[in-house]
Amino acid sequence: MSGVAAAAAPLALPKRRRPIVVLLRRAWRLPRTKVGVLLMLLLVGTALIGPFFAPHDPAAFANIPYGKPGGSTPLGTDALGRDVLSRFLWGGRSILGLSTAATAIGLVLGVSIGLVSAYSRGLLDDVLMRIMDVILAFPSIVLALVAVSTVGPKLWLIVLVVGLTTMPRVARVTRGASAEIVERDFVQAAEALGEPRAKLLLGEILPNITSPLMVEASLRLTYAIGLIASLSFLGFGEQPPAADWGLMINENQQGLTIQPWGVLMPVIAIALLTIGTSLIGDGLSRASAGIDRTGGE
Amino acid sequence: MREDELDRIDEEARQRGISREELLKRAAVAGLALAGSGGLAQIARAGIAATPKRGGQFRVGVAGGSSSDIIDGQDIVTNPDQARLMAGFETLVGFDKNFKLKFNGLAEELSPNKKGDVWTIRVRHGIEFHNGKTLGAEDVIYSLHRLIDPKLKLFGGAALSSVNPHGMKKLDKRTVRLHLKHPDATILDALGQYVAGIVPVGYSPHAIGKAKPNVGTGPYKLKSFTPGQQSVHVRNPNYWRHGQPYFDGVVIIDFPDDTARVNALLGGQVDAITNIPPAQVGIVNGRSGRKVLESPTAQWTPLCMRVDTAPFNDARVRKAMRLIADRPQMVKQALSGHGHVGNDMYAPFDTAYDHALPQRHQDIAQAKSLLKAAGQTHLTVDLQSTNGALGMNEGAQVFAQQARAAGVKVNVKILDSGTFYGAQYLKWPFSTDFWGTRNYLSQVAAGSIPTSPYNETHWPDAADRKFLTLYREALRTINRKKRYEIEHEMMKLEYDHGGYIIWGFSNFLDGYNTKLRGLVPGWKGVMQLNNFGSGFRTFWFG
Repeated sequence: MSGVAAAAAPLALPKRRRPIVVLLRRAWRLPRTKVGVLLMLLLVGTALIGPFFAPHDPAAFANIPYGKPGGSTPLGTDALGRDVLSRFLWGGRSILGLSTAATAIGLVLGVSIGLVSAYSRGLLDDVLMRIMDVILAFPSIVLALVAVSTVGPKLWLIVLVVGLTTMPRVARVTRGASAEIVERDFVQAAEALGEPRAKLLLGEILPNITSPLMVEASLRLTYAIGLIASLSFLGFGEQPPAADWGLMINENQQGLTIQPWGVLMPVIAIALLTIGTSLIGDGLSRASAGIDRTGGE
Repeated sequence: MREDELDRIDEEARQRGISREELLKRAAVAGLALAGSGGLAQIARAGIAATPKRGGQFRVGVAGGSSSDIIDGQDIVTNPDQARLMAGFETLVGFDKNFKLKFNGLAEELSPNKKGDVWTIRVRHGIEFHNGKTLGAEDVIYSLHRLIDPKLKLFGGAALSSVNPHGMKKLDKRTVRLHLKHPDATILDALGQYVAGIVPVGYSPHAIGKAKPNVGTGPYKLKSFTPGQQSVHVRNPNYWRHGQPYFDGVVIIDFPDDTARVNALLGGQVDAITNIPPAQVGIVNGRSGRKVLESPTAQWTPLCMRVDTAPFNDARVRKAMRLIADRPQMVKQALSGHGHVGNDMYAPFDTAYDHALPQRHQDIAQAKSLLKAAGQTHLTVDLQSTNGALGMNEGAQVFAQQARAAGVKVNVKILDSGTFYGAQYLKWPFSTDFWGTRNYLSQVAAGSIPTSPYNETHWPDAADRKFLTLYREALRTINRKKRYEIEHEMMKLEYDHGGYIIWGFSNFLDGYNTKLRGLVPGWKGVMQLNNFGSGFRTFWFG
């Protein structure tokens, strides 16, 4: 018994820290990852620091509705006459915060279910995965709308629903990636040593599937940003007079032909944000699959 | 109660067999002071001095509409229903462009006894329904019976609560004697509302909008109708107003989508549209051959405070909230300036409206001290709203922003209309709502007394009988001057203690192709496009 453990240890130990560092290093070498990170930094920066540079109170009236750009309102005013630039600078916080939180919930739930599924196999695996399939089969926006129209437009609910719709995909990826790890000797060794199941799942298996999970996480974040922006656009996210990118598009769509900035700015921001996160995801996935490898590893 | 000058001209023209315009021209040539200089000026101003031309198919895009569209002479569900009702049906009396009641409808006489509880209605001679039936006393009796039928729950029935269903008597072919349950000074207003259409005996007795044939006395006969899409109407050749209508036909098209509607006008697919979003006014006016018709209204989107629920059961809090509102700013930001400032009082078109009430201005300092006195220094309230009409959500948001200056936190909750108008409707402590143009006493009946169908503010306070006593007294007072005095007293009560914040009245913004003639700017209408051209009979193609 101790022989098996001793043999497994040198195999498992060096692997623990390495995969993620290797992955990140490899991914960073790809130009697409750099562009993605740059975009992310730009938009996260706008959202976090932007409000300090806003020329007006985002809820204050600066001019007539749909006022043209100029003077104290460089990007004009919105449907109620509020400064578009100030609202844009204030409007990124909620979408970033909500989508990050939703992705985190989706990851935690998805990884837990995927690990349990892969490890237990048998009936529990089947039941869990079929439940995930059922959730997957529903268009996520429809699920979110059903939840919001029964409970009301609450921010915690949006985060929870988007997290729950993120969960099945994460669970499937986790299960797929860990199904093969579970068979490995070091897992069986740890099992034999009587390691608690939770520790085994999180300590032995999880570190070995970080690469696919990183890829999945960034893709899920992209998806959460899109979904939360759509829900805000439909009026179920942040409530007026809050400044929020999705809500801004909704509020100002009437004036698209005469004062487009109120729609264009949030559209551009959301687009760049999702492009950024998906470029990072793409970089990570290429790096982990070994595509575009420039050698030296 | 005589007919106005215009009607006299109409009458005379009909007898001589020529059109009003022709008559005026001949009169001018002959130097006859037929209608008096005032009358002529009024006609010239109304833009009907130009010679109308016959012919053409008029296509109008109306905002709203859905598969629940109906055509009924006495009821509407959606906005396009109003246009369709106007094309086919007429009322006994009507309102002119200044929202003054005129005897320009089907009734040639409508007069009360001294007490005001017995009215005599006589319809004009020789008016025909679309199916050829001559309009008579029995049709008037049937129409009134149908309007107040409790089973049908018709829109126009609420205002006719004084009509005694067993008190209608046919005196002769064209005359009806109407015995009311009590004297009612508002009966003319009630009979003049567009939903009080006169329908023939037997018209869809048990259901709304199911009449076959669907006939009235209006300028156009119904040819085809697809709910949610469009209706086609053809000229009524036997129409009683000489020369009218001018179009061969009218097509009324549902256009719920704002952008599509404006594009249809710009692209020439329709000749006129209703409800241009304020943001698009510049675009329409900037296009050659297209213009915006702007008309003031007395329609309002108030903020409603429930006078029987905390925190608004304290009159000081209500007053403070009213002092928080910067009304000119609300009109500017919420209506893009296309409206008029309100004074917490409805019915500004009513001749009884008390213009002596001082205009209420924003006064944050006084609002703060009132709130402090009421122990509500850091008041936080939810304000429920929905996208029901332009000004509801917008007004709520602008008010919420203004309230911050007084330390009041107003959380605007924008709900879907199903939730807003659901079980909680009329129970929200603080909400927005939407009301159309009405005269004062009719509006009180609709929204300011306990028996009103839509009393959001729960005004008046249950302990206070004064307002109700005054209201009953006003109804019974046929003498106009005396009645106005009572109405002013009622207005003062509401102005001082009421639950409405009435910050403004929005304008109608309609668009038209400049080849369309006969439109009157500034028409104080209940409906868009000069009350849909009083059934599309006052418009023509130039």
